[in-house]
Amino acid sequence: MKEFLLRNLHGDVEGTCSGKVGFIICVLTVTNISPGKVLPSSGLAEFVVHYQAIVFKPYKGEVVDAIVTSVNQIGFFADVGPLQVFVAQKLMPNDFKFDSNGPCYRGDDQMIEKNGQVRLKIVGLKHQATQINAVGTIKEDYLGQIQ
Amino acid sequence: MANSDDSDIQYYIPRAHLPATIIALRTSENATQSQGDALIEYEYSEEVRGFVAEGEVSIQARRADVRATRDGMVGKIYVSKGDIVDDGSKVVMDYQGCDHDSVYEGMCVVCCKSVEVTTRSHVNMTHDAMSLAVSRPEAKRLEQGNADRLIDEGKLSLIVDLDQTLIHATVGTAIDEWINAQGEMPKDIRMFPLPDSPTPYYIKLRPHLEIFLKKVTKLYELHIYTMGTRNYAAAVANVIDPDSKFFSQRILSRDENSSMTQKSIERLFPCDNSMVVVIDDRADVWQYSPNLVKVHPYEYFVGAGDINAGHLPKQEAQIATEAAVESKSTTPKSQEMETQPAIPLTTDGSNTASAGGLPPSSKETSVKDATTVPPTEPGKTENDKAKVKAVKAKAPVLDDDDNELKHILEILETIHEKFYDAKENFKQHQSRKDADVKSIIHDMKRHVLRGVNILFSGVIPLGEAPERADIWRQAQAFGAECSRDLNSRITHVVAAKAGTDKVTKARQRKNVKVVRPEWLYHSIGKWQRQNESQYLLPDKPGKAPPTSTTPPPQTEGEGEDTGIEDGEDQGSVSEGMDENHQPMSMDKDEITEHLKSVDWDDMEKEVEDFVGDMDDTDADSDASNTQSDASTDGNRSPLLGLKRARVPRRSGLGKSVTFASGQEEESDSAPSDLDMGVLEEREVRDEGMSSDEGDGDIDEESGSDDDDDEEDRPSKNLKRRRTTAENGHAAYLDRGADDEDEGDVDADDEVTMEHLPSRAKASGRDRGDVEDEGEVGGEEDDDFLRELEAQE
Repeated sequence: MKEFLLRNLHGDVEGTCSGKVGFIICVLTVTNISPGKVLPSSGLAEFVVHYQAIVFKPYKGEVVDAIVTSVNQIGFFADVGPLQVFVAQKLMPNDFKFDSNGPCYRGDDQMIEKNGQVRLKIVGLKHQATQINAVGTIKEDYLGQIQ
Repeated sequence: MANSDDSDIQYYIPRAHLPATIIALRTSENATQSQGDALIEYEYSEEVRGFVAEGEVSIQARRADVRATRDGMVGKIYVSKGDIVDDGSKVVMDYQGCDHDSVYEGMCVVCCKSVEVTTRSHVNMTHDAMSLAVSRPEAKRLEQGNADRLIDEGKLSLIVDLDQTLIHATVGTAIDEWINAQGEMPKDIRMFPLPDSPTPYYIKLRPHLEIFLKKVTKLYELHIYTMGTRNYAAAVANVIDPDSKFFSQRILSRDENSSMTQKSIERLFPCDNSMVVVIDDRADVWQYSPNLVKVHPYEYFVGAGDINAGHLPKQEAQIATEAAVESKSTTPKSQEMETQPAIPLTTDGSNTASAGGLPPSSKETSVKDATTVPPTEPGKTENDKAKVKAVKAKAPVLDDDDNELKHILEILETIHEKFYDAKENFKQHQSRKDADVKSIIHDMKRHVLRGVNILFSGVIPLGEAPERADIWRQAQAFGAECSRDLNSRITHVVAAKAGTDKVTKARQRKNVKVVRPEWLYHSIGKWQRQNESQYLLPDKPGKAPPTSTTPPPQTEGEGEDTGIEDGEDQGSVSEGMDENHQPMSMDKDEITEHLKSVDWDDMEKEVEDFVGDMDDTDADSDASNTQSDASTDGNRSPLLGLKRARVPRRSGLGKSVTFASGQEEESDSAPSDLDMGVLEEREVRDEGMSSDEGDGDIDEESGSDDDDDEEDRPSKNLKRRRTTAENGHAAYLDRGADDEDEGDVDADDEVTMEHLPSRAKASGRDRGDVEDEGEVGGEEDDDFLRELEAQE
C-alpha cells in the first residue's frame, strides 16, 4: 500500500511545476501518510501525503546558467532546466546585433546562438498555475556567453 | 539598448517647488515602475495667504512626489535622501519609458511588467514562439530592419509550403509493405519516424528539389510554412535541408499557426508583404493572396493526398473542377473504382511479386490495404475520397517527371528580377510607387491571357455560380475575361466536350477557338499562353453514346505536349504501363540503351501493315457491332468498343494481352503462380471494369489522333472483337481491355524488356511517346493477327 502510494506520488508530482513552489524536481522523503479516506460514491480512497522534495524555484535577481534554444530578432530563449527564460535584445549589451544568418546575436567578443551557453540574470517572473516563465537580462557585468 | 528618443525621460523638480528637500526615494535604480508610481518624495515650502489671519503670509511645508509619467524603468538617480535641490535644471532621475514592445507570456520582456496582450495591440511574428508577442510599431520596425537587410543582400522573402509543393508525404502500413517489398529505398524517398506515429513517414522529394533550393536561396530568404506539426516540419526540414542552410530556423508549423485552416502572410510579415512571395499548392488557405504563386500539387504516392490537409476545408480547386468534368462518366462507378489498386502500392508490389517472390495473396492484401488508406486519414470524407480517386485517374502516377519546380524557379527568378528593376527605377526616377511583388505577380499573371475572352462550356458544374468557380477566378486572375454567354467578344470557348450548344454555336464563328480545358490549365500552370492548336477540341462528340464512358477527349494533345505540366497527361499514359514496372528504380542509362536497341523503322512498318490489314474490314463493322454486342455482356460492349479504340495506338500492349491470354488458357488446368496472380487480379478488375474504362479512355484516347484515326478505330476494334469473340476469346478481350492485366501479362510473358523502352519514353520524355508505343508492340500485333486469320 505504502509502496503504491509512493509510486503514485513520484509519478504525479515529479517533473511538474506549480506557480507556488516552483518545479518539483525530486521527492526526497515522505514525512507523513494520512489514513485513507474512502470517497463517497466511489471506491477510491484519498490519502494526504506530506513529503519533502527538491524544487527549483527561480527568484528575481537570480543568476543562472542556461542553454539557448531559439534565437529570433526580438531576442532569444534559453532553458534553465525546466524553466524557459526569454532575453530581449534590449536587455543585451548595446553592442549585440542580430544576425539572421545563424541566426545569432553578435557582440564585440561574444556570440549567442542556438545551443550555446549563457549566464543570465532573471529580472522578471510570471507565476501561473502550472508554469513559470521568466525574463532575463545579460546586460550586466559577467553575464552573457559562457566561453 | 536605447529605445526611440521619446522613451528616455529625465525628471526634474518643478520650479514652483524649489527649493525642495528630498524626503525619500521610493524606488531604486533599475526598478520597474508603472505609470503614476511615486518615485521620489520631497518636501517644499509654500506661501499660504490668509490662512492664519487675513493679510498674513505663512509658510507651510508641503510634500509632493515625482511620479512616473509612464510605465518604465528607473535609470540613474542623481539625488539621495536629505539632498536639497534648488536648481530647476537639475536632473533628479533618468527614467526609461517602456512601450512593452515585446511581451513574453503576458510579461514585458524589458520591464517585466504584466501586460495585457490583445490582437489589436500585438502581433506574433516569430516562427517558433507563440508566447512572444510584439507591438505593432515594434513589428514594423523589426520588419523594416529585416527588409533593409534583405535589400542589401539583394533578396526577397519566400514562404514555401511543404506538402505537395516541395515533397509528397505518406504514412501507413500499405506504404510500409510496399517499401519493404522494394528491398532498398527508392530514389529520393526518405523515411523518418515521428513520435506520435506508429509507422514511419515516407516523403518523396519533388524532382529538382535540391537544385531548386540551391538556386532559389540565392535570391530569396526561405521560410517554411506548413500545416504539419512542429515535429513533422522539423523532420522534413532536416531531410531536405540537413545543414539548415536554406531554412535555418525559419519554420512555421501548424502548432504556431493561430488558425487550423488558413495561412496568412501577416503571421510572419505583419506590416509589409511587398517583398514576400508564397508558393503553395493550395490557394484557398491563403485566401487567394496576391503574393501567392500557386504550384501544381505534387502527387507521388497516389491516393495519399496531402496528409496534413485533413482539417482543411475540402479543396474546391481546379483539380476538383477538372475531375468533375470527367467524373460525369466515371462517378456512377466510383465505388467500383475502389477496387482499382492504389497504384504504386499494389502494382509495384505485384511486380516485385514476380521478381522478388511475393506470394500472389499478398497482392490481394495490399489491394485491400491500399484502398483502406484514404479512410484512415483524418477528415477524409467520402467526397474527398471521390476526389482522390478522380485525381488518381489523372495524377502523375509514379511519374517522376515533374518539372514544376524548375518552372516555379523561373517564375521566381523573373519576379526577383522585376522587383529589383522596379526598386532601381523607384530610386532613380522617383517613380510613384515602390516595388511590390504583389503588383509584379499581378502584372505577370495578367499578361498571360491578356485579350482572351473565355466562354466555358461543360467545365463549371451547373449548380455553381460560374463567377465563383475556381477556374473562372483563375482565368480572370490571369488576365482573361470570362463571359456567361456567347457574344461577339468571345475569343475562346473552353469546352469539356464537343456537342454542347455553346460549342456548336461557337464553331460557326470564325475567330473563336474551341479548346479543351487543358489549354487553360496549362496556360495558367505555366504562366504562359499555350498554343491553342494543340488543344483544339475535336469536331465530333465522342464516338460512343454520350451516356457511356466516352469522356471528353481531354488529353488529346499529349503527343505534342512539351510543357512541364504534363504530369496529368504523362500520368495517364504511363498509368497503364508504369504500374507494372518499377519506374522509380529505372535507370536512365538502361532506358537509353533499350531505346537504342529497338529498330523503330522496322516496327513502324509493321504497324502500318497491321493498320492496313484492319482497314479492309471496315465495311462489315457496323453489322458486326450489333452482333458482338449481343454476343458479349451487354453492359460491357460499349466499353469494349472504346477499349478497342485504343488498340491502334497501344496495339502492342493490347495484342500481347490477348496473345498471352491464349497461353493462359492452355495453362489453365495447372495455373502457375503468375497465372494465379493474373486471375485474381482479373476478379478484382472485373468489378471495376466499367469505371476503369472511363478513366482509361480519358487517358488513353488522348493520342494525337486526327479525324481519320477516329474513323479507323472503331471499325478495327469491331473487327477484332468479332473475330476474337468467334474464337471464344471474348473473355480475354475483357481482360485485354484492361490496362492492369495487360501489363501483368506483359511482365509474365517476358515482353517486359520490349516494353521498357516505350514506357521509359512515356515517362521519360515529353513527346512522341504515343506513336512509339504502338511501334514497339507492332511485332506482336502482327503475329497475333496472323494467328487470328489462320484460325478464321
